[in-house]
Amino acid sequence: MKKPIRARIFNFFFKPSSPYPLAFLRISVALLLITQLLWLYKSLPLLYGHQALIPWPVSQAIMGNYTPNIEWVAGYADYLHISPDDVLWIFIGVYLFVLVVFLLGIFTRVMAVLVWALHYMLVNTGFMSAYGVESFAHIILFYCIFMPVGNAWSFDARKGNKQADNEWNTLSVRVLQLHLCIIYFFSGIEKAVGIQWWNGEAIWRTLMQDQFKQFDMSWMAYYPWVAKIICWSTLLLEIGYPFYMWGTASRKYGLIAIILLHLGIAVFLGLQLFAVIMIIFSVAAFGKLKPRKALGHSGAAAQKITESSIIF
Amino acid sequence: MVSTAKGSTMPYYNPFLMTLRHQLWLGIVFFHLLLAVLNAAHMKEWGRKSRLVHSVNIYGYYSGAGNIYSFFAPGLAEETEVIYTLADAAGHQRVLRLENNNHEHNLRIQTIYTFFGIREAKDLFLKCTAAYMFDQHRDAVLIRVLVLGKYIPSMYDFRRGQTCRWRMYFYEDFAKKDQVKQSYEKTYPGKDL
Repeated sequence: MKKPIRARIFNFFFKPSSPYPLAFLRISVALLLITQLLWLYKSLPLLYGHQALIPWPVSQAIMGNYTPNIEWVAGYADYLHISPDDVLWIFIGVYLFVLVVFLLGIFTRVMAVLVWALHYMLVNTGFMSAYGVESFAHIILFYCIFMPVGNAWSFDARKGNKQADNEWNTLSVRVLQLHLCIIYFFSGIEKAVGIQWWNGEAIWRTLMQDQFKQFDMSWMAYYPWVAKIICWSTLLLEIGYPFYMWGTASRKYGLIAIILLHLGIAVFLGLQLFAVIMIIFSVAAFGKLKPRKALGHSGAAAQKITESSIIF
Repeated sequence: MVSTAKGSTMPYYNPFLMTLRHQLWLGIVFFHLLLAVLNAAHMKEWGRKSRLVHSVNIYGYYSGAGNIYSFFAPGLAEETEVIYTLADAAGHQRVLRLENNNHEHNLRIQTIYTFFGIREAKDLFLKCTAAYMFDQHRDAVLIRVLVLGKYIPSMYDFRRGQTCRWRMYFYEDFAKKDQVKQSYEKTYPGKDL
């Protein structure tokens, strides 16, 4: 007998599931943001400093008064006779510390709020230098405030029976899945509006720009069908994402295709951080993660995350 | 999957177990994702400016539901490059760029430079970049900020012999007036600048 619609909705959003996808999301995003910070360490004053390429007052004026940035903190630090340059480094130090604590899953909820707030302030301060990786990190960190991301592979999980399946894990993963569908679908539609994504010029022009150029791809001009196939495949993968990801049979291949798409972006366009965050997002949402071994609570050290596997 | 809700012995798949808490969260999720859809569909450009829309927009900024996903869409703009020529009081000149061997750093610099394409913002960004260079190179008294764009021919034109080339968009000179004047008077005594 067919279940009533109310039961179906309830099952879709609240049928208990494992906390591991959300734990994976927390750990991988924290690692990514730490990597990003270390990668840009020497460039931080140029991008986010008081006398940055786009200085604080200009960023603040463009962004508006309701978006927090480092200048807000500097206003208070002035009373303590801390210079604006030192404010940046203190801010970065605190941000890094909070990211590490969040990664380990200690006071996860509080740390999630702090990571989200500090990340948002940093991005707003240098918003003109931000690209996709910041947008998606911001989306994920906001979700981390509300989602039970510390219920597995964390110090917090050692207290009580948090690793059991529950309905809030399911609701959280459903939100990630639906948001990803929105992202890919609209991203594909926006591309499809332009002629460059139909005649292959988009990929040609991207690969020929010095900022993205990793290899000499000028040969592609002599094989325009290659560029067309890449563009059409991108449109198909992005617009089709909300459809093939919900099919039990097609999900596995869809996820592999999306991972390959982003690996291609990382290798050929040099957008490694962007590619990694998109892979993290998709794997957390649609790759049914679960540990290969049951992990005990008795160990003193943090639980190992290396023994996980992705099950499609 | 048979599990039980707090204080209940009924299985989860029973729809009557949808408590007020479940319904509330479902409502919040629905609102949030609806906002994500509307923003992705360029709601901000629809023209309605009310206090409610403004509040919703702020929520969108804070939550990430206000994003537009137009990466590389609908097409690609020309790549922008900025070259700085610095002159010190003695007249020595250097040509500098802000890019270095850190790819992630360069991506961000390039992202900033794309804003030079906004006509209204051009002057402001020229001044910002010049001010940054003056701050970093205290000996400089004159800075020329030269903005270039990279022309990439279509695949068809490339096959017919056209090549990628940089072309000048615009440039602007910035000077520390007092120091330039002193330097000029030293070099050309008796002449007015």
